[in-house]
Amino acid sequence: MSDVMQEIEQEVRANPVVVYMKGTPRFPMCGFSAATVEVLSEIGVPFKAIDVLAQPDKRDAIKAYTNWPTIPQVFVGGKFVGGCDIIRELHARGELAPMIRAASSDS
Amino acid sequence: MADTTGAGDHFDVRVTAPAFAGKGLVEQHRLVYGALGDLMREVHALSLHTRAPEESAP
Repeated sequence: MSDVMQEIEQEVRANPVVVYMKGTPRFPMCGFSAATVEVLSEIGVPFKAIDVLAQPDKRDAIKAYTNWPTIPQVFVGGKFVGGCDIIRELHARGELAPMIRAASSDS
Repeated sequence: MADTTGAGDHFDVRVTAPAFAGKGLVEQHRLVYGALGDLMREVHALSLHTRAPEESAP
């Protein structure tokens, strides 16, 4: 496993909620990243955001790590949960907040 | 499927397939990405909504 892959693994294990996104929560650089951060902010549990535009090697590495072609990517409790559409759908079903709260209280 | 900007690289896609039954959303989306293959390189933005036939509409 490459150094970047190991760094990703460490990040998703060390933080209950992690989003790999384009831009930052304050200044998202993509509509899908913005929408994802909006949902996470609505739930109100702190999350770690990683800007892949600032780390180009991580932009490719995260796609390889999850075998998932798009960004943003959200991890909860070390597990890949999905991209923007899945996050929005889980939130609409009322499943996302309990999942995030459970992961956050475990740590 | 809808071409959301008319530019041919932003799409909103709804897929209902028996192959999705019993699978989580991540697996369902992976099946669609896999079917698109190299086309994913030409698509800038793809909004996906998947469900198995017996599920209620998303």
